[in-house]
Amino acid sequence: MICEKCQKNEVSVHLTDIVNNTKREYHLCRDCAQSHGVSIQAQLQNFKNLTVPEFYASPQEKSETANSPEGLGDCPDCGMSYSNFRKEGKFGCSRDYDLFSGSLDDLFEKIHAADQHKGRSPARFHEQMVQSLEVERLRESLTHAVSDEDFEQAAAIRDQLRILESGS
Amino acid sequence: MSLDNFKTNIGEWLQGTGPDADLVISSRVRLARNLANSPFTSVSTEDQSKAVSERIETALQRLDGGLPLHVMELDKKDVVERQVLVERHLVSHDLATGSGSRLVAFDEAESFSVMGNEEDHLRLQVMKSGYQLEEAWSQMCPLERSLEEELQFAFHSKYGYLTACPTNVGTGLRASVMLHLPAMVITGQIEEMTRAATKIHLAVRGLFGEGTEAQGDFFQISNQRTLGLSEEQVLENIASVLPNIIVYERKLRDELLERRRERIEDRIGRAFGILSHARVITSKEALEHLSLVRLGVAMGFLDDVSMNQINRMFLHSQPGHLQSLVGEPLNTEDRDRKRADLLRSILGDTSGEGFSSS
Repeated sequence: MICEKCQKNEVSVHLTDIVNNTKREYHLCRDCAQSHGVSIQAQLQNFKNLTVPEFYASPQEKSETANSPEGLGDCPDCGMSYSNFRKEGKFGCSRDYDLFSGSLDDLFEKIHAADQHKGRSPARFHEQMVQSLEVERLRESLTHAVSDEDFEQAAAIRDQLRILESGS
Repeated sequence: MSLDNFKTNIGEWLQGTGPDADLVISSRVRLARNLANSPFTSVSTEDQSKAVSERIETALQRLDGGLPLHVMELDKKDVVERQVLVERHLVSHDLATGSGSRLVAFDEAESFSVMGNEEDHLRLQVMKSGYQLEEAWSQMCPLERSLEEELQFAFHSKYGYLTACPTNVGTGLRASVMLHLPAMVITGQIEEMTRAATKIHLAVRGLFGEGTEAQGDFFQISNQRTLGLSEEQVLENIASVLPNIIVYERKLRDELLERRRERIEDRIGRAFGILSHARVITSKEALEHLSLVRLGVAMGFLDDVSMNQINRMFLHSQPGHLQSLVGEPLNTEDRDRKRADLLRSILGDTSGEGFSSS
């Protein structure tokens, strides 16, 4: 069996991952496994913070998402840097939320198991909130449609999403 | 208003009059809000903080349908006065010990309060006696709306109300109830309750909230998640477990009465004896005995003590109140002596000189 990552070497690591009751198997060679932190020791040490999709993402992708907020430099309004935010655990101003948004969804998933506000909103945001919740609802039904392999329905939802998101 | 009223009064939330007040001391909702276009408190300059304070004060003066509010600038209060405000749950420990322009505003009943320039620009709080979380929320909603009209709050269509700490983002809502669960502690059931609460993302903490240990069988249960749930869902989550906790604690109390009546009565009687006769007592010891006496009153053992008296002892025997009542700063030893005097005077012993027993 050939490693599904590099498509060259013989597979030496078989990994089973279960996310939301969906089982997925990964077959990797030793080099690919190790370069992504999958040795037994690394697993013991790192597994708590690393999900399989995270390690399975290509190294470039991974470093991009992890580093992008740092690469942006300090917030022009409050001077907060991403690394300082992670160190202190506190935002400096509202703008930081947009500036660091690339990494916030993961953080909020860990803290709140969610990344979309569903509570009340100021009057000046009501319309925007209705749309934002509609996009969220459509995304969820898109995920369901894809996992049910109902691609016709999925395409229809995708088109709806495109219209909604281009209008915002 | 001077702080003198605090010497004789206790806040409405501590009157012991609300539903299930034998077990639920108080219900509280708080909202974290920040002004749009102003940096959060921790990175604000002194001038920016002052400007925020001023905007908040102006908005509070125009509050629709609101009661007259007492406004106090924390940076102009001494250590004891700030401690008194913390003990009354009007001000957080962080606001009391912070620096720069900070304010607190509250109504006469101490039911509604606003902290200015805490970790967030605004922390709005409504507190009520007993189990009245829904009522507290209903009181909060129009007040928040009215302030929103005066002050534009920082808001994001994806993340909701923006807060300094990621643990408050979204609704900015922390809903909590303070519970007295002595029978669960005596029978070793607290861990079980904590586990059940944690499972549905509720936190169990001590008397003064975050970072404090449970003392004297008092526990605070609050929501942990502020993002991805509506305010109503947060309240429903707490409402889904609270009746079970209340019923269970009552059941355990009945069982204690049935099986270990003499031992429980003895413990409560001894606690009452110490409170009404001690000459020197630490706040930790006082709290432990007050917890048992409170249980005794709830179970009907102690007829000549009222819940109101217990709550007064509970509040006024804390260091800030004690020093404020005596009128001078006291070292720990003197506090322990004055505390014993105060407790005796409230329980009717005339040897507790210097305190009126009214």
